[in-house]
Amino acid sequence: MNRKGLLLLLLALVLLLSCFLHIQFTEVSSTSAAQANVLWWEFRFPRLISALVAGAGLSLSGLLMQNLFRNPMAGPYVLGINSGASLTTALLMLGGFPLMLHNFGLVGSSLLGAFLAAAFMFFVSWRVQQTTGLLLVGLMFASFTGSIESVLQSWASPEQVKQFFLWNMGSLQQLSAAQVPWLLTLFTVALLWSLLLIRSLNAFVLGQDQAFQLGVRTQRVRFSMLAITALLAGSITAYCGPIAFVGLAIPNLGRQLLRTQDHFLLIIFCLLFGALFLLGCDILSVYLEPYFSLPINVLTSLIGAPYIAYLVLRRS
Amino acid sequence: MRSLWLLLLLVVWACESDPQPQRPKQAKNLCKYSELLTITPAKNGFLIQIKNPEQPKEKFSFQLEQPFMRIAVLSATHVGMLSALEQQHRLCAIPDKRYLHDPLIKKAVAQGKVADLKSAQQLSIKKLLARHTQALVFSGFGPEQTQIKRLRSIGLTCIPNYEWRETHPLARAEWVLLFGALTGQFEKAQQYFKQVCQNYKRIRTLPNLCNSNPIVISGYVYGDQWVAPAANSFEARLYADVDFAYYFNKRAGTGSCFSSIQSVLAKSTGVVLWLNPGQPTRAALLQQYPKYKYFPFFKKRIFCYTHNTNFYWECAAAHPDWVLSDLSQIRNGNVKKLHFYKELRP
Repeated sequence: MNRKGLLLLLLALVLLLSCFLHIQFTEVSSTSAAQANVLWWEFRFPRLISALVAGAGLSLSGLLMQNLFRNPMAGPYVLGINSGASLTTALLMLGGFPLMLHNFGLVGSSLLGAFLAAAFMFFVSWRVQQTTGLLLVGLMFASFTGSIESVLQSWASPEQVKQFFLWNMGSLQQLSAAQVPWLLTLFTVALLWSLLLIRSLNAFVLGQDQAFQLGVRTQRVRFSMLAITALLAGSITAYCGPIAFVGLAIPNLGRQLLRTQDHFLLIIFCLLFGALFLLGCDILSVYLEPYFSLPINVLTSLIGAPYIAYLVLRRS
Repeated sequence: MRSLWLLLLLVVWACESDPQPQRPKQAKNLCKYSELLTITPAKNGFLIQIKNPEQPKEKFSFQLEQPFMRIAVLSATHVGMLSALEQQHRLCAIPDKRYLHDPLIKKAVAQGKVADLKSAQQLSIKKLLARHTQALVFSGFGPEQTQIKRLRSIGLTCIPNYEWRETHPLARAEWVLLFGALTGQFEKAQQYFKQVCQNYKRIRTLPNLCNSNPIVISGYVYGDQWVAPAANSFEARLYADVDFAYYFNKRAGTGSCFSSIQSVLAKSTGVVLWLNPGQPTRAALLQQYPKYKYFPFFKKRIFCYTHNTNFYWECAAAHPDWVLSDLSQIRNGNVKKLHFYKELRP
């Protein structure tokens, strides 16, 4: 087995160990069997799945965005895809629509927002060729959606504002056992779809014109990449709130460690390390709980932001 | 021997000619319970001193000689204190009309006699000056805001209120004396507070009809945590005064305490009563956090004031006797007339 294979195997083992460590936190000391059952199935298990799926899914969507835009600074958060999902969710939550009460209302609106934002950024990427320009548009878009959310908050009731604020902080504890199959289904569809695209993704590394000459249906692949990203970012944002930096940092780290453009290896790395990263952040937040509470978004930003700054400095 | 007599004479003379300087008589603090507010009689009024709990060395103090005719307040609690003294007519600005309860003030706001500042965080200096505001009472949150400093610099008396940081319900209510001094109704405020104290003490000594001390939990899920009043807060004191065994009575602190949701779920089998969950109905609770249904105490008695939140926030600080009366009735299970609380029916 070569070095890359060993690294991925090691990652898989560490992830498995982390899962066991995460499960150990279940407090069953003073509970009945029935209550221990509730603790595990309704609290621990959905939290574990949230961490694994959100970490893996956001990393995968970041990898796809970086390939599509041929830009290592691309990611669902930086390009405003999370912001699109956040905006439509804000419209639903702060607008007080009864649809909000339904599980599908939240997921549907989040998916729609993510898809529209991804389509918008894709359109912009055709017009704006420069990386800096594209990132600026992404930041402006995020700022614009943030302003609309602020306007909506000034109209909404304090209760609605509180609900939206909490959702916006990001959380791995909001998913219920009943929602786990939905999140897993959406994730599995997105994952299988991206595995079908591996050859095209590898060809895209050479540039879309080259990929076209190699027989790749570039238009269809571009649409697929956007759809997968919207599916992942939208569903994860709906259930866990917007989570920053995972989608941006993990694929870059994968390229640095594996030194490859083979998207089969990169996808596996993103799935394993993305899941491990978010699980690690959650384990850390559990350890810190007796002292202070840190929303998951704060932890990911605390670790992710310096890494991105390092990447930018290294490139310049 | 002669020199010894001379020395003795000198000592006696020295003692007589240099009498001990008399200590100035310490002015009496008129506040008995409060740890943060001091009111002492001064030459033409009162000397008011307010301690900042975050920075104990920092003390706001001012000499009050004339009562204020036009007062702006930045919290519903301050409105309640003025209402308790029937001094609503001195109000010239309030923080947000959506959080008002007092019908008199609501009417005054509707008629444009009292300005609605909309937000306590983004103060409109223009609005305050247009209303000829003489004094502004604001809730202290550590370091003072820039706006407050700016208002002080143009001559407005800005008074911090830390009533919410007191650890005893009566200490909180005692801040009514500050409003009594500000409005020239100090004696009335003293009478009012004396009555509140008497009621509070009477209710505290009412017999506990429960066989044991019922275990009570307070608070709700906020984000990823359970938030509740800490063991040394005024709310925990209220629970102790009606013989409740408070779930968080080992969590030190004078404000809020936090606990993991799973820890609360795992260790709350003995809880028989849930207070202040923050929602007016059980359905609203489940909508806010569907996993509440798994908590054993969700199926027990739940009481909250959220059917009339504005009334509670405006009046509870000035009426701890009413809050205690409600809790006492809830404890004994013979609920006759509750002032603030209402049971969330299953």
